[in-house]
Amino acid sequence: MKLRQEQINYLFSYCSEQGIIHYDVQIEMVDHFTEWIELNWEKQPDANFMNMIEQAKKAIPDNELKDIITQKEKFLKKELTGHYHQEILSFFTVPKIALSVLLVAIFYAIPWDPEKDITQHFSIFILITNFYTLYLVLWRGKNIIVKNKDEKMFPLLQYEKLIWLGKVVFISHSCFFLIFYSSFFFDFKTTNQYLIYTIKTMLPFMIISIVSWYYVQVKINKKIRELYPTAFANN
Amino acid sequence: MNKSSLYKGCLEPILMQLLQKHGRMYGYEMTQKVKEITKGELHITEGALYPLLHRLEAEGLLEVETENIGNRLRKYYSLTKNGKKQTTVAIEEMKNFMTTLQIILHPKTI
Repeated sequence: MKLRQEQINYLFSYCSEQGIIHYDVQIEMVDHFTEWIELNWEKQPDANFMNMIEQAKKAIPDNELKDIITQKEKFLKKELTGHYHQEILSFFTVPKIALSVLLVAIFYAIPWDPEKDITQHFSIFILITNFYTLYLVLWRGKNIIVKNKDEKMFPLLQYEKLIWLGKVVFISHSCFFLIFYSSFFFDFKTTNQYLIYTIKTMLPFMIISIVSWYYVQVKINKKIRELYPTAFANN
Repeated sequence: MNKSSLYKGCLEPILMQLLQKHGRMYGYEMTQKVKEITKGELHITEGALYPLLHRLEAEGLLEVETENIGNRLRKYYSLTKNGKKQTTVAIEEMKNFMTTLQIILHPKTI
């Protein structure tokens, strides 16, 4: 006997009551319960939905449900790191590796003018990076990061971990730029060779890390949307 | 010792073998298939199945796709390229383990 939509909604509420509040875990459990009830209900057609629920609860006890969510949370960080590695590897294609090496070489070749502010030496690169990042996020990524944030209807465990990781990376990138652009407010000139070479080495890596991070963010956001289409509005 | 405890360590190769044979499967289907193959001898509990599937997914051995099946979504699991390689290794390890058990249980027959 096939369950009706309101009966399936009841199962979603039951999962929430048992502490499974995230949609990405709920859908799997609700599908499991539904399948269990549908198959067992056929064997006892005289039973009603609530009888079947009671039987299902006995067959799949609360403590097992709690175990599932605890374990899922534990593995999710690992899973997300795995996705990140996978996507970052797909970002570094041969032309992009060549471009990154070229970028490092160009930064080393830039003549250092002690009279010029640090920011002025690299401002064009930072500007290109910002434009390219905007192109990646808004044009190629179809603004998926903001869309997912605005259109998400249910809590998603995977998404929450991604947002948390995103905040950490965003803050670290922002801190870097804040230091770098501080020369707008303070005179930031140097002749210290050690500092010059540190900046020349750090900056290309920071640029590559920012671009690759946004590339990965777009990819993972698209993947989450693809996996859980019903968790978002306008689908 | 009950049967479940005996089977516990073998669950991973069992599931991987199932997925290798059937391509993609969802959680409940796996429990039913195992029950059917073993003629009810092995019952996989939800508390053992899902954490294992989630771990294998996190390790990159399984991949997930969701499908709308009318009034709900269903999560299907299938082996990744790495998962297929790992299945062969896991099955081989299980065979070795079974041989070792045979040696212990029937020392003279081996």
